Amino acid sequence: MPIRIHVDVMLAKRKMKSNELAELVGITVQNLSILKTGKAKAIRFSTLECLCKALDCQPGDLLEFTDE
Amino acid sequence: MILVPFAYGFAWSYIEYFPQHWVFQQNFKIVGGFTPTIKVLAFVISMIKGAVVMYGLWVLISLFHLYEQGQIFKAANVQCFKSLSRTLFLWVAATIITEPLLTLILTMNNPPGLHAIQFSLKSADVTALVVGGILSVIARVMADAQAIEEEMELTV
Repeated sequence: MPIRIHVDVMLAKRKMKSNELAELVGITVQNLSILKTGKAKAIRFSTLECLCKALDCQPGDLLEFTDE
Repeated sequence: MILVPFAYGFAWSYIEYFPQHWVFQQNFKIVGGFTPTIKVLAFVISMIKGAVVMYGLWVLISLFHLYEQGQIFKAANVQCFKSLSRTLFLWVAATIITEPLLTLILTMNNPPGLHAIQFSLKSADVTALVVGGILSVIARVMADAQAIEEEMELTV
């Protein structure tokens, strides 16, 4: 997948656990795992907004495009 | 599914006790009655259709097992619908193959000049072809639904 989500990097920076982030964002730990492992095919803007609020970051901090 | 061969075996074992119009639309005479050889050969030939029925039942069992597990729009469900469509087409093919073979076997003891080969295509066969085509279309639509569900599952 050319678009990567660096949730694990931001989790480490904010010293937050996955289950805490999942609860703040309002998604299941399994769905968060799908994001972290790069298996997600799409992300809703609402989810991205909640992630940015919970991790206190910009969408650009989470998303990266790699030309594979 | 296991009862199908028993049902066919029972029917051919006691065929002389059934009203003939229930069993076979015949335009020919069976001289000498239903000998054991005729019954065994007829059973073997009619099991061609029986095998198709058993395959269809096995596919239906698999499909309902998937529904029981909560799997509605998965690749396995799509395969089941394609298999059901195939079963109906095979049913018609089996009918076309078995009917002349059966008439040949039933008239094998007839004197020369009274052997028969019968072909027929009934409205039920045409219906089976149409329903098979409809199931094929349903399988195609379900394949699209499966792709959409997979995408939805991986949308966070």
